[in-house]
Amino acid sequence: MDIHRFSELAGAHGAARERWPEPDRELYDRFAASPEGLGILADAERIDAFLDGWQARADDAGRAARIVAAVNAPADGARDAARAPASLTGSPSRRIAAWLSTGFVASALCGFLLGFTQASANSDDETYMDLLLGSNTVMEEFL
Amino acid sequence: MGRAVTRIEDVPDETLVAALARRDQRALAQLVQRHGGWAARFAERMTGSPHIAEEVVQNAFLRLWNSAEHWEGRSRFTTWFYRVLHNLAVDELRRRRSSHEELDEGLEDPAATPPQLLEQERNAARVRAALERLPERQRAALVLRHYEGCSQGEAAQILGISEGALESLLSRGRATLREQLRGELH
Repeated sequence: MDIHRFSELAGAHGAARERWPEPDRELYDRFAASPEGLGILADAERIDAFLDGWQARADDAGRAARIVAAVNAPADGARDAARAPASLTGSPSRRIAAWLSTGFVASALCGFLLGFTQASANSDDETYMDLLLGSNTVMEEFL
Repeated sequence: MGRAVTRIEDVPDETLVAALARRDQRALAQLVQRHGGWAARFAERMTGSPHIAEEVVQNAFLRLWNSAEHWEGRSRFTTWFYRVLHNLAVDELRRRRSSHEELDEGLEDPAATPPQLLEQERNAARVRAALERLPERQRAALVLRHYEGCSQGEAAQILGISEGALESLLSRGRATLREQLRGELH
């Protein structure tokens, strides 16, 4: 155990003795007051001080009630919306882009279905509509 | 002979979790009261946003509520709950990044904030930004050890790594912060 290990530990755990793992505190005590040790700890202290610049906020009094309410809320649309793809819940421009692409895919699918039924030699207009609407009678013809 | 009355505040976490499996609302309220505060602080330090943090904490309690009967109690409740929060926070950050959602900076309105608080907010924002640039594991190691005061062993257990690996993450994280600070000063 030497000053090199002391430096490694200060680099990982910082300058405060209480943050060091218990078994390594003896090493801290041995080198902390040495000229080399003081330099190492001063360097580690700068990082500690920087991190301390992010103070925890005061506790939010209403949070507990909101958490309990969220846990008890039924698995309804609100929770589904929270998990919905960002493209459907994000900024207005992203929402518009999402709806446009959804529309494009839907019209391509309709085109494909119409083309497919025409090619199947069934030219009755009613049949296309039944197919699009999911009529079982028409679907059976394709099975 | 009257029965000894145990106040719910004195009931151990593990017993409360067992009560959750029976859908006991008082047990839920007590666990939220006991652990909601630190859970939100930890999640905020992991995600950098109080709003995402609250979502993460709600989801963590929801998971606890829905799976309480499967909880085996192999580790302390807080260690297990840290792990759940950590995983949910990381998942949420990845989801938001992959869908290019903007991360909320959590800054107060400068016009409505007194100068001293504004300075604190600026410092907090610098630290938050520096931590956000770290890889997730390094950030989690620093948050658990520096802010949460977890022991070396507990932090390693939460992250599912050895104590040696944790020390390595801490060293690399702090070394990166040192470089960032040096860059700011020059």
